[in-house]
Amino acid sequence: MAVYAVLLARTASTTASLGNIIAGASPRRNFWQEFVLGSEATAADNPFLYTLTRCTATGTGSAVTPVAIDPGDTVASNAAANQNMTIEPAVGNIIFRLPLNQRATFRWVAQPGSELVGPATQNNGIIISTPTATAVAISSTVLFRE
Amino acid sequence: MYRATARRPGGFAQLVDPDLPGGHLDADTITCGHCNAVVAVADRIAGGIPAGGGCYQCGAAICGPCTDLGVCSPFEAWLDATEGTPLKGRWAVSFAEWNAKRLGRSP
Repeated sequence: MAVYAVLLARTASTTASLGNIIAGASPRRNFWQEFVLGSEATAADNPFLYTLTRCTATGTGSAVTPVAIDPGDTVASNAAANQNMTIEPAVGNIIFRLPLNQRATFRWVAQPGSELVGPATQNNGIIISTPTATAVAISSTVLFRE
Repeated sequence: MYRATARRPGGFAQLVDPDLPGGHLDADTITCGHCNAVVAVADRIAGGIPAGGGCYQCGAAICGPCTDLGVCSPFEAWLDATEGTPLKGRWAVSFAEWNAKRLGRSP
């Protein structure tokens, strides 16, 4: 099992999501074991709400290639990732909500066995959105195992 | 540094904020065994509300809303249903799947 990093970035929007990670054509479960959320914009007091929501379609965005953390893992990830979404995918349940000030940065690390799991169904996965946001640069790093 | 801990955490969350005492806040989290949501555990010494509960049927730590539902719907069974994995014909199933099948409930 390889661990892959996905770096997502965009100018925050209340209607367009930061990005998603979904199962590809040869779907495997992807286990989110760590993610970081924050803004690299000039420090200012702005409220943000980050959500992680299940999605059942790709939506439209800029493709991001998951990069293996270990260079020895030469097999490409089966998952597909998109950032800077322009068309939102169909979404399901919210599994994580995080109110966060723009000045703050948040990091979550899972114990083995307690990861967030994207199902092994093509185009199903998890999308990171900002229903409350100010139009400044935001980014996220997600490490997932599959 | 503030730290809320759990005996068997499902992970930990770290918030870095210049306005916090010490500049950061750490808390253990649980990952709900029913809906896969991540919930920070409360600092009970400071009077915080417990993050959720435990399921007597599948034995998982679960979040508050799933505790309120009062039914066992294991996340593993939801995954299998979503993926369309047939239970029949498999040589082994997880306890969560077995439990859902025994109860005759859709996950």
